[in-house]
Amino acid sequence: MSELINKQNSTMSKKRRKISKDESSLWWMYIPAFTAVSLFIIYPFLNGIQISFTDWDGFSQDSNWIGLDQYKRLFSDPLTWLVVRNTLLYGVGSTFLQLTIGLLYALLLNRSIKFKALTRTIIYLPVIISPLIMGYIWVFFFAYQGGALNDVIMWLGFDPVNALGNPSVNPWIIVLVNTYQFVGISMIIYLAGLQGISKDYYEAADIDGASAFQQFKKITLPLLMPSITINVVLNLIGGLKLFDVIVSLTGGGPGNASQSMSTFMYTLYFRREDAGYAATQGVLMTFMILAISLIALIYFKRKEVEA
Amino acid sequence: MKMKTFSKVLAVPLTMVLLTACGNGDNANGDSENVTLSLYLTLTEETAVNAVEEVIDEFEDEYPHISIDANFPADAYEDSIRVRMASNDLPDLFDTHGWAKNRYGDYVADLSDMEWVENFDESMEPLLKDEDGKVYAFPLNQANDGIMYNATMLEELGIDLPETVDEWIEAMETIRDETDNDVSPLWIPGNDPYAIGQILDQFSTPLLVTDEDNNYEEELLDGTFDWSNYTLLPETMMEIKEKDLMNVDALTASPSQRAQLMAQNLIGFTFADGAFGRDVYELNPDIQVGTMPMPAFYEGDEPSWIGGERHTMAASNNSENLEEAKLFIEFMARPDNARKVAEGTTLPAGINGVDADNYYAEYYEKWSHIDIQPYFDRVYLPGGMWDVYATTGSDLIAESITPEQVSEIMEAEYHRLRRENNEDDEEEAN
Repeated sequence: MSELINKQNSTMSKKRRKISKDESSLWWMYIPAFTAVSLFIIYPFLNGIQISFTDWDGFSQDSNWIGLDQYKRLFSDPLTWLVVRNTLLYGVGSTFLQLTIGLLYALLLNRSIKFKALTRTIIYLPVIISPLIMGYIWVFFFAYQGGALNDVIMWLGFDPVNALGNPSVNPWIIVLVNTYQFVGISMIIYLAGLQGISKDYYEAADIDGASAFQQFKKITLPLLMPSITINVVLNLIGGLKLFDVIVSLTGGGPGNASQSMSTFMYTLYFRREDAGYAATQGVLMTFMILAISLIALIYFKRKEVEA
Repeated sequence: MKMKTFSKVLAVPLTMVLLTACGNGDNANGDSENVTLSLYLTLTEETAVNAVEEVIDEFEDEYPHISIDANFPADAYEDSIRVRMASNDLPDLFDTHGWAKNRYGDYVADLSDMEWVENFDESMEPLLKDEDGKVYAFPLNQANDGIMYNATMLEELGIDLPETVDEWIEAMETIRDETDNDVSPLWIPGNDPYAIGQILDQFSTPLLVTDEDNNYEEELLDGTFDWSNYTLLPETMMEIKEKDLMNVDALTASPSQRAQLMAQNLIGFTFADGAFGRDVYELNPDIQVGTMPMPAFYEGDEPSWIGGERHTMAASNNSENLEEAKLFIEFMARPDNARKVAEGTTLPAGINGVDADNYYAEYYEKWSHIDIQPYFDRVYLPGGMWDVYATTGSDLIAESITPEQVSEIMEAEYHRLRRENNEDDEEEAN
């Protein structure tokens, strides 16, 4: 018996050695991806941190090392808080709307309804359009002169509104346009989650006399948590680094009223010849997105249950 | 995979890489017979681009071993050129668009040994040549900016051309009242905030330079300027807004709407580039667009044209094809070619001996006694202030900030950028 065990053990250790040898040969496969990530993400990021300690204008061949001056400026600049506020609005606002509307669409399309495939396609269609183009399309809707919205408003006998030129309204328009464009992705992720929930749970709940709302609350929602986690993280990151739609809808204006951290960084670098400060804003943005995404990820992961 | 097949598969991308390298416009290729020059220009009007391309075709016919890879990136021009400046990899030929000395001075080759230099227009020479005799760029044309106006409408309403800001506001009030608010006396396409920046920049000259009692040139240049003296300009902009003299959608209107609205007789005054009059004429030949110099801010002062360097062609001092690049500039400077391009941009030529036909010729003639002042920001402000003009102007019209706050922001940015350029010290800023 012990011989047999020993034999089995030696066979297993040979297998383990073989596996580890096989695995080590697979490590080479990491090199292309690691090289690409190092070259295009890690190096520029580290370089950006270095630039944030200088007063580089963005094109000169030299710059001065100014220590933490840009960081002091960052926290005393009222524009920083304006763009952080806008960025959080774009990130959290879009995430909340996409989660809610996406879930409603998914629940609707998970049932047997007519034209299900067509409806799903129509909802998903905006995703394939470039966000920049999407912004320009919506400009034609909201434009003061010749915009569809004002045509309707004037037809109803009211005065036209200048929605895109109103600093207290246009950040919300950006949230709505971003939601409209990407709600299809949330819907597809939810649909995949919904189709993975066994019907047995619902049948058992029916027998126990649970209402539709109770079934949603006690079965659907807990089992959809992995989909919600993915959606929250994806939408948060997408919303927090929003750029294209802002450029085409409002250009960050009027003034700086609808700037996000991304567009503000672009403005500082390319327009203000202030690359050092742009890099500082970039560092803040990176850590802000990292922190918010990690908190959301950990929170929703804890809520997940085993099916 | 067999070695033979593998070699064939590998041969395709390798050949493509080699061909791409050979066709790279920015590099000298090993073959001295054939050279490709990269050319970047800020021109956007179709007629101007066509004129340049026509000249390029003729040049390539005359010099078959040189081909020109022309790029007209429009709004992306400055961004791409800045990135290339950072890596010291500028195109062989490029446009300095008003910044020949201040921004691009260290990157351009000296063109002083070229024949066309002796034909420099007297107003362009000091802008493109320094005291050491270095010539920075060839001027394709020269700017002559003021305010565009609906000459047909002003004539119909019997409005005399304004020579002061107060008269200009009165003229706009007349337009507002006589047309029952159907017309925008001043039309601003603020969807492009730089259009607002342009207005503020052009008015800064009569506000702070041309009037003897309100001349702050020295203070602006040495960093001691009191920016409260600037507040009158944003206050005037707000007066125009509060009197309903500017379009309601001044913050969101697009420049692409401008010609159409003028052709529909819906604009009194606006700020636009040279091609504007011709664009309006194509849409409605009955509307005549005029141009006038900037009105004076103070009684007793004269109006002034804002002008100088607009479109140029400089050669990169880092170019490996400098001789060929200069050959193309020399070709571009031939009177026929210079005329073609100047007419394409609807602006006067930048060198003498070129008789360019111009839509605004009669207006330039009418105001020929008026001095041409250089763009305010190019002379008195550090690089990077243009965007500050634009954003403060937009914020002001949106009523997010007051005229006083506009001056405060301008002051803060002015000192920050001067410090960055080592023109200011901490004490001055404080």
